[in-house]
Amino acid sequence: MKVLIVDDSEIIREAIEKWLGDFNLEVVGRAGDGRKALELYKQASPDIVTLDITMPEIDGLSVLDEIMKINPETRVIIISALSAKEIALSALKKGARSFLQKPFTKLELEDVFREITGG
Amino acid sequence: MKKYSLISAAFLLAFIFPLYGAPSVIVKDYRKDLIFNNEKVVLIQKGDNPEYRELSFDDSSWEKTSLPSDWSSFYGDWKGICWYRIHVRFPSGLPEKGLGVRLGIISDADETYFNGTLIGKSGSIDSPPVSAYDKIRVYELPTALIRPGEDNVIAMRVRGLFPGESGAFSNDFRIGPYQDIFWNYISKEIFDLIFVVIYFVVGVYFGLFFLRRRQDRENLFFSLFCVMVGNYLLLRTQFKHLFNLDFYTVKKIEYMILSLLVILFIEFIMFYFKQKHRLYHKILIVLSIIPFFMILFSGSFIFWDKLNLWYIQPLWIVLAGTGIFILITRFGKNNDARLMGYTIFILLASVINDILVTRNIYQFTRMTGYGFFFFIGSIAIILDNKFVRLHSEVEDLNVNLENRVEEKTEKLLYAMEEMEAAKRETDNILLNVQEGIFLLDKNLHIGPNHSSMLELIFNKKDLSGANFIDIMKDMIQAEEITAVKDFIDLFIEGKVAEKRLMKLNPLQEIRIQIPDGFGFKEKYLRFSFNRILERGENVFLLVTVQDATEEKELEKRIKDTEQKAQREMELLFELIHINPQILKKFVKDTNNEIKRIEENLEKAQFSTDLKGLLAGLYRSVHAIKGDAGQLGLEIFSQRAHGVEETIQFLTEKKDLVAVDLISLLYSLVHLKDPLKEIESLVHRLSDYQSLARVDEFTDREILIEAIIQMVSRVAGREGKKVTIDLEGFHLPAMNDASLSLLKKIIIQIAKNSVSHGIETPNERGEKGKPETGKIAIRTENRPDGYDIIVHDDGRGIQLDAILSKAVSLGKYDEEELKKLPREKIAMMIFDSGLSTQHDVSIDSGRGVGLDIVKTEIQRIGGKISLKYSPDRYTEFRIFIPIA
Amino acid sequence: MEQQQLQIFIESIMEYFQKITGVGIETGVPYLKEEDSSVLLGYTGVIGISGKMRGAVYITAEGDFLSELLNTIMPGMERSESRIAGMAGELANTIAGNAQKVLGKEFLISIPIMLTSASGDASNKLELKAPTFVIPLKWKNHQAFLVVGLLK
Repeated sequence: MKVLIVDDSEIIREAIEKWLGDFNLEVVGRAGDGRKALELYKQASPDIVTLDITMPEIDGLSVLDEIMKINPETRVIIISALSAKEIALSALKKGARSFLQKPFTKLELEDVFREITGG
Repeated sequence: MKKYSLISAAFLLAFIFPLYGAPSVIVKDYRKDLIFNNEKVVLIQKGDNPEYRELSFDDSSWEKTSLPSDWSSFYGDWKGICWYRIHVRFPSGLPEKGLGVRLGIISDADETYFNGTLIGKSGSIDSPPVSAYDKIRVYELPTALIRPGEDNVIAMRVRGLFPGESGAFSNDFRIGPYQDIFWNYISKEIFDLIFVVIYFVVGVYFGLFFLRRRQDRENLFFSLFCVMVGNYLLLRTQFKHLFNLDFYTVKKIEYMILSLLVILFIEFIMFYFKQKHRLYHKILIVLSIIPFFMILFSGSFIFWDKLNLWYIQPLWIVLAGTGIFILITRFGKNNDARLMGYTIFILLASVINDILVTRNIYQFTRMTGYGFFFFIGSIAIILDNKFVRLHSEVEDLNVNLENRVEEKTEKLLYAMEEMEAAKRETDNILLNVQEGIFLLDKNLHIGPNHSSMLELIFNKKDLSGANFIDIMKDMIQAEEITAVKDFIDLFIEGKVAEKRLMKLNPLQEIRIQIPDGFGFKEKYLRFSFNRILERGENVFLLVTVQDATEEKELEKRIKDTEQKAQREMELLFELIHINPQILKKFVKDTNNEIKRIEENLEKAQFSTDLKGLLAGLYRSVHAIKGDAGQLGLEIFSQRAHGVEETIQFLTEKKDLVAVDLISLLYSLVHLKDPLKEIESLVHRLSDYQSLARVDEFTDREILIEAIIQMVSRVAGREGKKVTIDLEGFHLPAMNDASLSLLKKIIIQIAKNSVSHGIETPNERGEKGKPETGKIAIRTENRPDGYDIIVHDDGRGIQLDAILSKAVSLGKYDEEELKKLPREKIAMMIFDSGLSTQHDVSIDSGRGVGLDIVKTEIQRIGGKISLKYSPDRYTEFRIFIPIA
Repeated sequence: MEQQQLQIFIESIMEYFQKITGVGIETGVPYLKEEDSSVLLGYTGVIGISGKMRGAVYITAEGDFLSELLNTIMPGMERSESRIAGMAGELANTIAGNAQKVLGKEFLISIPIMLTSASGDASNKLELKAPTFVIPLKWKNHQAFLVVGLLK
């Protein structure tokens, strides 16, 4: 399955990519802001998107809206701050499949991906 | 003898008759009913002649025959007129009662003459065929016509109808008393009528059966069958003749009944034995109904008769065969079939018997009537038996069913008990559980089975069916509601893993305001959610609410306690140096002082002398401050100082109004707080010390301790060195109040000495004095009291400073002051508001202190005086009277 | 309650009297009361306060005070028990309104509750928190008390 990683933090992007090594996934793109994220999404049509909420240019929720418009079957994992429960909830309402709260561990990430991929 | 002769005479007569040629019926006794069947006493002649009726007509050429007799043996199928002549001989004399004659059944019509006179006629001899062919002829013989002892002739003019059944072909032939003959005739008919009634009753009985139970069609057919038979028999009786019914119509109905009778019975058997209607059976039904309508629409009797003979009756054989076949096939397994078979056999036997008897093959009683009665009765009994059998079966079944129902009911009751027990258990749990537990349906309505605690937690009643969001709206902010809605929606949707979603629970811990009494109560609630799947569908949310308020309050209390403990520690460090007895005294004194302040405030109400009030309060607060300072209670004396400053501020305030004193209240509250803490600490300390059995101090020791403490503190703070000499200090016994007052006075004066008398070590050095100053306190006894003398080796009273302060306060005129004697000026240090200290400090300097001393001394009737020498000493002498 | 708030609060009541009756209300020397002893006259209107601070504020007066007030506001109105009680309620309402203004949104203010001497042991129902401030009030020579008990 194809994964797009969207996060304004390079460290987190790298962490996600590295931690996902055990899964049979193909990382098709990494984006640091919403605009690039949408561009890459349209190009690569990934199955899974990890999506940071707070980002420059276009924020995560708007990106989520766009993705849901293009393909509601896309499995979006929202990554948000611990305190932003409401945002996470509204993202899930919009169609995100799961979420992660920063900071997260490798185990948590794996957990979420197992849920998402049904493994 | 007479008897014998009569009999022998009759005998003789009987033998004599043949001698006359014509055979005769000989009536020996008018009273006897004589049957002349089969006696060759009848003459018959084909053709018609009016003379034939006459007594005198010679009939010797006529054929001789006996009755009953149809004339076919003589005249073939002749349907015209024939005459019968019967000669009768009566005894001598006329009968007492009228005589009658019965002439059997004559087919079809007749006119009967007696000795040439018409005595009766039946049917219509001259018009078409059917009129009275089954009528029994019973006619009266008019007594007047009888020729006793002579030849009499009954002549019957008869029209025939059927071949082989024409003329007086059947039944009884009698002559005798008319009444006897008639009653004999009618009783037979009545007897038949009884059968008819029975058939009708049976018919109606089973008809009603059928009406009650439509599915048992055998009852309908049996009922119809019985009614038809009854009807038929009724029509066949002589009553139709008696009541002059239209013979033609009666016969039509009879034939119609005959066409249906057997098929009705076959139908009955088929339904009774649950024989399916095959095509063959249906054809039989149609074949049976066809003649019914043919007769109905046809007016020809001959046709009916032919139809009956050549169609209906042969069909009966087919039908009977079919019925018998149905019965025979069931003989083996069905008792009823066997019984019915026998019944039908007997019926058939009786019918055959009658046919044979009718044909005069042999002579026997007619059996069909009885056969039918037996037949119908038997079948009724069989049906009834079946009904009784069924009924008892049904009863058995009912009993069985009742047992089963009882059994089931028991099981049900047991199950209900179990359910109730389970419900009780659930109810108990819901009643006693400490959490609010409830179910939410898809529409977010609270289920009816929620724990009792829930109402308490939400402080709301009637929660069943209430909308959860509506309830939450009252408790949390509008923006939080959206999150709650989203969360629950997602939870119900079930797309996101429950475990993960729980991390976003916006109600994990919420603070809510719940109306309570006059205000609101703050509560902390924790919600947890579980999805409950029913038949794989996500239907309910199980919600658990925990009231975490106590936990939270405990947390807060712990935090408060920690803070308090820290404050206490600080206080403790201060207190630890102070003797607990002294502390106790301090607390007591201070409390009294504060109470006095509060009382004064409460008393003041709308007093206008606010400044005077404030001055009084100031003195009290100052005393408190002094005590605290003297004991080294920094926190406390700082607060007392704060109160002082407030009073100072208020005193100096222009346009002071009563309500401004609120600030004073606030600073007082501020002062009281640490006092309470000290109080409880002292309490605890003294508890501890009493356990440790520390010796009680004497009043003197307590006082001395307090003085030393104070002096060393003030000296330390002001950088002075002071020793204190208490050699000559001896107190008389006194009560607490006096001791407290004395303490106040001595401490104030000693404090004044340290602050204003003793110089700094430097100053003393410059003056050539030892660096350490000395304060000596002693007592001198007087007759009415005692003196307390406080002596210091300090700078003495500084008159200049007093003067300039007095002037600056504007209390005195400068010129006036200069005129005052030195003593007076010195005594001004006891005036309120004068303080010669340059800096206002915690321990002294507000000018209150000595003024309090003076006021107090004057209050108890004492005196205060002072003497001094500049740079050498100051000595206060206080006289305390003993009451 | 902060000192300043209490002062503003009292001032607002004074203003109310000035405005409504044209006769100012006189305040006496305020004093403190222990929490277990409350000052209660014939009629008392109480408002509960919660939120940042908890406690109660009440105004208590005798019937003559209230009937005079009633007479001043609505001249010619006949004096009746229910009207007097109603007046006390009105007064409490005013206090509540003022309290909300003074205290701001952080405070939750309950609906005023009326207590009369007839309602029995009224002091039990007053959840006053120490320290309790009592401000004697005098208006047209009639006595009343404003009592404020709030714990920080």
